[in-house]
Amino acid sequence: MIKITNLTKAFAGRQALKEVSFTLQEGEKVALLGPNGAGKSTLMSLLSGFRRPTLGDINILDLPVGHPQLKSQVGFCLQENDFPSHSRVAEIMGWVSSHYSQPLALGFLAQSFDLTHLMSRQTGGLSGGEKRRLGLALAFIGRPKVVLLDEPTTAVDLENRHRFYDFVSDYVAREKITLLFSTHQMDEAERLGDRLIILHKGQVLRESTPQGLKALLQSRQVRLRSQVDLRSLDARWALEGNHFYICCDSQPEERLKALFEQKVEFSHLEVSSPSIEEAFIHLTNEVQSEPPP
Amino acid sequence: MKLLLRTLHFQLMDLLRQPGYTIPTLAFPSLFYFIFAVPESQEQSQAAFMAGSFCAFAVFGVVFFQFGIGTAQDRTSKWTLYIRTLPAPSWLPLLSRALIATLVALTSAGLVLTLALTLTPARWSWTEASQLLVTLALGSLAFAPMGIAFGYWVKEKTALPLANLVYLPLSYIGGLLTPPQMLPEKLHRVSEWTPTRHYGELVWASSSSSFPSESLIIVIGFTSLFLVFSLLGYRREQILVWS
Repeated sequence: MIKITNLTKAFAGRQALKEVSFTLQEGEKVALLGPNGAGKSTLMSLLSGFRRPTLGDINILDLPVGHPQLKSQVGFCLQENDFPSHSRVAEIMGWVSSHYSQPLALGFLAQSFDLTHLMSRQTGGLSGGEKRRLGLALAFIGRPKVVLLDEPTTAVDLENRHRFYDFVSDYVAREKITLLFSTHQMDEAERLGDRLIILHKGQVLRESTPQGLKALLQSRQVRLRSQVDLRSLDARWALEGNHFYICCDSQPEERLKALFEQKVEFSHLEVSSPSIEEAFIHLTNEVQSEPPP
Repeated sequence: MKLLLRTLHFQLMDLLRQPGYTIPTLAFPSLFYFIFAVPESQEQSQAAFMAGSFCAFAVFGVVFFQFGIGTAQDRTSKWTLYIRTLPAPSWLPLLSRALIATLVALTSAGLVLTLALTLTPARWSWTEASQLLVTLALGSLAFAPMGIAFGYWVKEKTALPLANLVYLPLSYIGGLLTPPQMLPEKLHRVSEWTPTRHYGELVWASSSSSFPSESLIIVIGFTSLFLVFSLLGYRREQILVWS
């Protein structure tokens, strides 16, 4: 569905992308992650055909990017939305839908993106989040086979963010739409992405499932409250506040077993797995701390 | 065709909801005409000449601003970028803009003609009137490349003041606000090198029996030149911003 091969993009001598290669299969939902300046937006602009690669190829639905046939099969939501400020939401949706032979029903889209009450409003009076929802709705209006979303839920409130997640889990999955989205929100990447692609300094740092990324951090965190100074029993415990102790360990069961054996009293026990955010930070920090070759 | 009509309707609705743009655009040439030309229009042929001048002034202003400011704004607009992703020919928004500019320009010129018919002795035969309307409508073709070239070579924030600096002097020197023979001698000489003067000659000729073929060639020459500048501006934009 999407095949990127040895993609390189240089701006005035600076390489924004270096030999990036990956593939998305039909119906796959992939999150593009990476710190600021990693090359996500450059990649998205190359995928949308606005920019041309310095080297390498991008094929979508077996056609090179920029092929006229792709326009009716690929939906876009750019990083920033901007609409004619005196046009009404319904007029914009109606006009965009008139470009397609079998557009989605506007009522369905309006409901899915909570736009029904905004249909008669001029876009100049919409909030940033409302404009974003309109931009997202437009990306799906032509029943595309592939959708590219650049930071889809920026400025969208929590309720509508979940409404969008439901739309992706329901409609996008049912229609087997191939979805590539860039995001800075790890929970969003974990919730929507079948796979994560992490970009770092213009290169693919890792491709993984959300579970695979979290598995990078083997340890789990144990947190409990005790009147006993646990540090005197085991140096791996650290004091947090007055009476709370935390320990990060790949075998937390062993730490707890040791406490039971020593008959140490404790309460407020919490054992947690690392979040995807922690795994992401761990991974990018690890690369940054590596000495240059 | 259906998509073009939908696009026209969509763009027109957005434009009509901007009274701050539409009212001054439509009223400015007729207001100027009423203040400066109506009191001077005592005799039939002179009145028709002045009305033609201000109609040409209306067409030039509307088309130059629509394309000049519009192109400068489009260069930074995310909406324009989004439109590029839609399955439509790339010339469609441009054609739609040209048709709307022609419509607004003819409406603005129509107001001038209405004032002329009401307040002055200016009169046209049906043949003259249809020649005048065709020449005015073709003004869109003549001045659109000039506006586009301007829009590609200036920055969005400076487009409006610079457009005014181009539009008013070119209209004056071109003899659209005052007859060319009444211009100071030096300006009169410069006038013969301006596109507005030769477009004016074509408009004035619609109520006479002679046809200024030389002016037609010069207008076509200017249009071609500005087309080249438009294409160069477009290519420069593609290289600087999108390469």
